[in-house]
Amino acid sequence: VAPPRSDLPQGTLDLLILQVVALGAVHGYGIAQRLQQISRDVLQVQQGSLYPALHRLEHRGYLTASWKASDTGRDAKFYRLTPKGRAQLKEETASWARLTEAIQLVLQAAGSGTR
Amino acid sequence: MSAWRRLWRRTDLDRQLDAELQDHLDRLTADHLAAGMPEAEARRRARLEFGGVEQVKEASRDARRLTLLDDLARDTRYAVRSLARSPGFTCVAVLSLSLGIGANTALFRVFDGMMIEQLPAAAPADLVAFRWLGPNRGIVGILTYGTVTTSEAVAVRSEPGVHVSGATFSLPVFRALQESSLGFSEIFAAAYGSAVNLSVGGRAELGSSQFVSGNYYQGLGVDASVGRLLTPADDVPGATAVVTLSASYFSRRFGRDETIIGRTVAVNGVAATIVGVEPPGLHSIGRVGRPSPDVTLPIAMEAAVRPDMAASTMPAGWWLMVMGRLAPGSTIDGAQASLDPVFRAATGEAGGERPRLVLRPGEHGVYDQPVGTTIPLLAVVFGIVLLLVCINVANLLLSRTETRQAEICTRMAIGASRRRVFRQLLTESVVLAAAGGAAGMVVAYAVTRLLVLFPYLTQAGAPNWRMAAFTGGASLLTGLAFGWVPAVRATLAAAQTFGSVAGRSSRARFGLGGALVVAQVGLSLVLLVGAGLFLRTIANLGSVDTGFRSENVVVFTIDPRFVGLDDHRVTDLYERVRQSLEAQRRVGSASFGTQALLSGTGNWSRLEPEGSSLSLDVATLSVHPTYFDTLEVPVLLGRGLSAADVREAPAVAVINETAARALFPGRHPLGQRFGRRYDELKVEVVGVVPDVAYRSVRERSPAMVFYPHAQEYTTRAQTFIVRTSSDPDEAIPDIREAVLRVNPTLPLQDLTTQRRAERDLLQEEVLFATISTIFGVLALVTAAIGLFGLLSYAVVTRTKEVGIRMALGAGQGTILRAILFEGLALTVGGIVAGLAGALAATRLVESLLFGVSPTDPGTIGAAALVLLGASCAAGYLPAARASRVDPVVALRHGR
Repeated sequence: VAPPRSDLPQGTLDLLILQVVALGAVHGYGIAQRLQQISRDVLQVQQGSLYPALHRLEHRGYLTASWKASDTGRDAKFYRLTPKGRAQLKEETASWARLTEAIQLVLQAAGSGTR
Repeated sequence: MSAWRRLWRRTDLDRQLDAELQDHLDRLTADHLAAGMPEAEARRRARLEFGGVEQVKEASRDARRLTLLDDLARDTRYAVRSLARSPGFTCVAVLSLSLGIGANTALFRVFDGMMIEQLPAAAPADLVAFRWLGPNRGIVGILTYGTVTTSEAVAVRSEPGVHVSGATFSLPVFRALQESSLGFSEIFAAAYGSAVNLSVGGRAELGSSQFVSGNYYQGLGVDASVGRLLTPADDVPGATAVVTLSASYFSRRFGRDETIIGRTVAVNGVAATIVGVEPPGLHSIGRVGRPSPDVTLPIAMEAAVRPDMAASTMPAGWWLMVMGRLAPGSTIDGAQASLDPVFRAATGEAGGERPRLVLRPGEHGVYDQPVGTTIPLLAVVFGIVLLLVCINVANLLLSRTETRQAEICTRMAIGASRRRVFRQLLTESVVLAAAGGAAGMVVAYAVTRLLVLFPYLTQAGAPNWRMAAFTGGASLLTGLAFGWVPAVRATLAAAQTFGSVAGRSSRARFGLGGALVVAQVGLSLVLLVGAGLFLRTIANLGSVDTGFRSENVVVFTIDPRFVGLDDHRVTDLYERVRQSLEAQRRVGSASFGTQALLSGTGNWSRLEPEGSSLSLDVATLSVHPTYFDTLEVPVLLGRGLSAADVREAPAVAVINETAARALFPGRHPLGQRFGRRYDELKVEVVGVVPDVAYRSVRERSPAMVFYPHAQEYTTRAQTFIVRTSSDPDEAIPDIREAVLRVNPTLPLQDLTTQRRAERDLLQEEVLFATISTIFGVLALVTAAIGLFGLLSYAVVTRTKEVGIRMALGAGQGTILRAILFEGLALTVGGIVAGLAGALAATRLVESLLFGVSPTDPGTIGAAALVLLGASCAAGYLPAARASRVDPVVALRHGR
């Protein structure tokens, strides 16, 4: 039985991609698979947003890509994190933590308020 | 676009994208196959799950194309939306920006028209202006430098160690230069003529004129818009008399009726054929921005058109502006070196120190622009206004970002970098400034109309790309200037964690906002002090005792040269006009003289009293015997001038008290005699009148001598002064009629009231007073609003503090005073800062002030008091609100 799937909040896809790529060089298909696996099938990424995001991140210099031989025997495009990307990941992780903490606080406060 | 796109498709990046997506599809298919699906089904499912391949490609390409420009476009759209959501704020900001940017654009437009615009000639960079530089007196062969007028001497920048620099040449010198023409393809000349009577088909009208050498238009490289222009063949003795019209005169007087070409116009009674019309927008070569005169005549016609003062027949008359067009390959320096000997040879035989030739770039005209203090002063005022506007909008933005803090925090929390938000906020400011700049065009139009009222600033350039660039640049810089600080603050504040929002100190806000208010108050003080100084100057000038009564006096000038009357009939003419005027019902008395008093001009000659070695420059007028009566000037000693003082009678004069003291120190003036440089006559003093204001109320009365009209040269123009029995404006039609009854072709020049003529002399002072008062009051209001906003905000954020103090026993009065005091402290800070600025800025206006020093303590004190009063008014409402705080409510809910 598949768990209900959630849409990604806007702006978070970049953060997730950076996090996955930080674990090691990986191709586009691999990123999609990894996201799905790690999130226990909750997060599913549409190819329609994955590839534009990858290309955007590459264009901004957060990722770098190279064509390498892969398990299928053909060349695949593998993405790696650049130092700039690593810094960005750190910053975005921190800001994400702040946001979730804040939202959590608000939710808890509101929850305790409804007696 | 499609060609560009085809190119794009072939790129390597695109092939890589195809391969990458294909790889993804293959892997998806392989996974499905591994899960036991048949191959066809696996492929179908993979395609289905992948979605639209083309859409993905397109979106990926777009992601790469996102550049700074795309960000900018997005930021701009976002800024426009965000500004549209708060129309009140946007309106106030755009309005004040339009004022600041518009005023400066207008000033730039005037500056551009005067300093940057080039003569509308072919290849203006090849034009060269001719000047000379020499000792003040005594060139052999030339008595003096001739007709170099005071205004010309002002217009030509003098150089250290040299007394006189001039820009006019005599006809023989010009012809010598033209004949040699070393280094030039053309050397040509022009001279302003005075007003001339232009009569076409029996209808007479005054027009402006110039006399030019035959190659004038050839030298400028311009073509006729209708008919033909003058040629060298028109400028030889005995040639048929011809004129050309300026394009504006052609349309103003003849409605662009081309049948006028070939018709005859009588110029001061000399018949000439109209041969053509100049191209539109032609300027005089004297100065860019000065429109081409109504009619242009060849120099050969000058003697016929103004026979009494024909400069072309006087070798010593230096009257022609000379310009040259460099021959290809020659330089100004080279041309100067080769022409200087020609010039020196032409100026005289030998001996004495002779002037030398100076050549300068001529693309802006022969004369330097007389910028004087007007443009720098206006630049200071308008610069202050723009600075004030920046501060004002920065203040508005600060309070706006306060209320938008939550929005900014959210944007940063979901991944927008600080730099990104900073850029976004700055974009908003620039969009705001751009809107202000666009609205400023309207303001600029209005302000330009005000500026061209200044004497000398009479030319505003046509709108051009330089003005557009100026406005654009000014808007961009303004936007960055006022947006920078609020954007830094907003992003800094938001970068802190959410938790600290509540604990944010209000001190920091007060610090920056306080500094801005201090600056606003300081700049307001500068403008208010300026306004005060000019208002006092005008009041002082208005209360000067002129020594005569200006009420109910009408003045006008008639010039018999316009109707070609000879000496004998002229004397008769003046008397007939005078009697015709006095016969009018509304006229008390009428008189005339070589000039009216306080007309802004003067005439001086050197007198030598008998029995002493003195030699003095004295203001001289020749007047009709009724002159003193009409102006209500009493005769203190002896007698006034009388009808018996005719040409054949002994030469007499009436002098004023200053002249009596200066010419005959320690002697009784009546019966004393003095000699003149220009004739052998000894003139006897028969009366003394009190001192009267002569050229301007700013000057103390000079030594003055009044000659009887009948004993002086009389074909000159005469100015009539008419004392009316009632409102002078109502009497003007009667006066006009009285003159026309004597001679219907005689034009009345400069017909106005004495009062209006005097006021026109103070035009510059009045305009400065108007401008500094308008902007001073605006500055005062914005400073007060800024202070009000700051204190209101402070009161809101410090409700809790107020509550505590009240709970501890502070009364309402104490709180009220405390808040008011904070506002006053800021104002005093601003006044102190502004004082330094005011002391520096008012030195610029020193020469324009009268009867008040630029550091006048009264004026500065008054301006400071006004600011203190405004600050009390601005602080009262917030202070009153604070004093009404309920301590219980404040302590429970306040921050």
